[in-house]
Amino acid sequence: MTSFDVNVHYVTRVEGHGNIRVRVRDGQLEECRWEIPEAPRFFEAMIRGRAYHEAPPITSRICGICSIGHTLASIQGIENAIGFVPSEQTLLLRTLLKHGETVQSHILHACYLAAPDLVGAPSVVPLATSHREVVLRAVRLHRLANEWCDLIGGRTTHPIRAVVGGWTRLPTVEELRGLRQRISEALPDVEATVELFRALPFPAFERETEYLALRKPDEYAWYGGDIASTDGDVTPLPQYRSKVKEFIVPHSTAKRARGNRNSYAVGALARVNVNYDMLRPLAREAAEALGIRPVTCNPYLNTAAQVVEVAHVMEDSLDVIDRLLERGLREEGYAVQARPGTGVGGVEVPRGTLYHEYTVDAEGRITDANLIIPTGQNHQNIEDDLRALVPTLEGKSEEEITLAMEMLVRAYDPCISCSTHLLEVEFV
Amino acid sequence: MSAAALAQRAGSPTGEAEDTVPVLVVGVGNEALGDEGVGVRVARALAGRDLPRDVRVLEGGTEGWALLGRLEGVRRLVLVDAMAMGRPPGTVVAVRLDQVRRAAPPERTSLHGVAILDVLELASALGISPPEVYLVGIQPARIAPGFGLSPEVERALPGAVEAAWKAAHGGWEQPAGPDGVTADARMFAEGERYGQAKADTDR
Repeated sequence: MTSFDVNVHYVTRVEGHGNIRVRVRDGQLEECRWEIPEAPRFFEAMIRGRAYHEAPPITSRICGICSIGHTLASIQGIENAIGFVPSEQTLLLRTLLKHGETVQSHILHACYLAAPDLVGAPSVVPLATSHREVVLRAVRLHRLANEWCDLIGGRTTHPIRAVVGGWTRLPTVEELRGLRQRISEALPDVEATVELFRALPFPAFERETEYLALRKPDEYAWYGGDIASTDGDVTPLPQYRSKVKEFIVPHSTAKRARGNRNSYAVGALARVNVNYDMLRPLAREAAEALGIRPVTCNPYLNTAAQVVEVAHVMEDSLDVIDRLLERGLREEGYAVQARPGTGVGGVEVPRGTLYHEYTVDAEGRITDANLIIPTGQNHQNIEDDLRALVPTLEGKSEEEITLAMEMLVRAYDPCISCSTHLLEVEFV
Repeated sequence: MSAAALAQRAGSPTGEAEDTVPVLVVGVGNEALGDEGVGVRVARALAGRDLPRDVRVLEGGTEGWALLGRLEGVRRLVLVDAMAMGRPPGTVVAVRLDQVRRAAPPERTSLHGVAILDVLELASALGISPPEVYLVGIQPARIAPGFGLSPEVERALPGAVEAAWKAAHGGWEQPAGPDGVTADARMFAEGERYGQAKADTDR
């Protein structure tokens, strides 16, 4: 019977520190852990006592990849707390900014971090010669996404124009037209990227789990909505705590969460599973080409689902820009009348549903804050996946076992924090 | 060669798209990690100068991969960053990329923790690397959470700005050592474990 240990100390090509620890004795899985050893960062404590308008720029710094998502979740949570209802123009521009970040992050993860695994390369550098056009396409799409976020948000990351109440500065009609043209011209690159991932071999592994994503009646939800589960239940956003049940484990400094079962997943695959009927035509075609239909339970396909979402947000952005141009851009300012209260913001960021909840007092000060990050919600699901995966790897070499587990973690595109990674695998 | 002469050699920059320039200076690093942010400080100081039209200065911050999308039309790239060279803190070195022998890099690639030399390696493999790449490295004294430079690196700032300015004009190359190498360098990735980086600077 097989006996082995796998200790991957710092999984590479993920954000931050995460260790995989597995012990198998005589074919029995004795231990299986996904460990997060990082120090907590106390952002919630940091913003208590601050004025409400300071929350978005501060919480934006939680992540350099999802800074737009954090900004928007924070704005939404604050606006719900102080009783401000944003205009349609403001919401359309927020969606457009959000879409830019989705392309930024998904392209980087799918093409730079996940694709090397799928073609059997140790990093993206060898791909530059073996798959040059693939990498150049990623560079082009990433550049477009960066300039897109800069154009709308005023910076490529940590946007400065999106604030509580609206926008400090609007793009011009010419800028929006130019962006529309560039997105439109980039669609062949998106189609080629779909084609690439269709041809790549994703590992076959399935584990049924619960998937959660925001859902709206009339569109693929990114900004607000209800919390929908593939188990069938729907929870209104303000009651998120009744659905997202946080807990802690001794071997991790990151909080975890569960819903109906021992664990659930959020992220691109969860969203496609929950909102499949809302995909735009190009994205629907991509999903079919990549073999995703609800409910797809292969976690490795999260990367494929990211590619589907790139197609969706590119196409959706054309429509958003058309709507903005049809309405005509209006200077609306961003003045708000604040009242004390509690509010919840929910935004679908690249790695899943992000919750920001705030309580604001009569002086406009934040007295309480609760932030739930997507990767935290995925930790238990990752560990449950690893536990189910190990027995399917019977008979494989130690290298293959380690790679299969690392690839699984990487497929979640986890954002543990900003940190370095040293890979050290010990087989005992 | 002066920037104007360079522009002449490269062809008129006016014919190019507005957002491409023949000379690009990028200061990279993370200001929240002490001396790791020195490249950004240099870029900020340079950006305040009266720059020729063919020179653009960017605060690269920690967006490693994004640099790939900025290289189109660039003939000379000057990267300014904290560089572990085993020299006294505040030492400024300006070299061509091929004069640097890269210290064994820690295994790390992520969206956050990308090392700028990895990005340059990828650019080179893709065939989009500018013909001339200079590195202006500043030996850090302290890489740890917190804003502000160490006194040694703060004092070195004017020299580093000058070195970047000269490198932008192609004017300062240090002679290579006997083995053709001027510096054994390791540049810091954002978020690199500061324990590791500190051990490196203490070495």
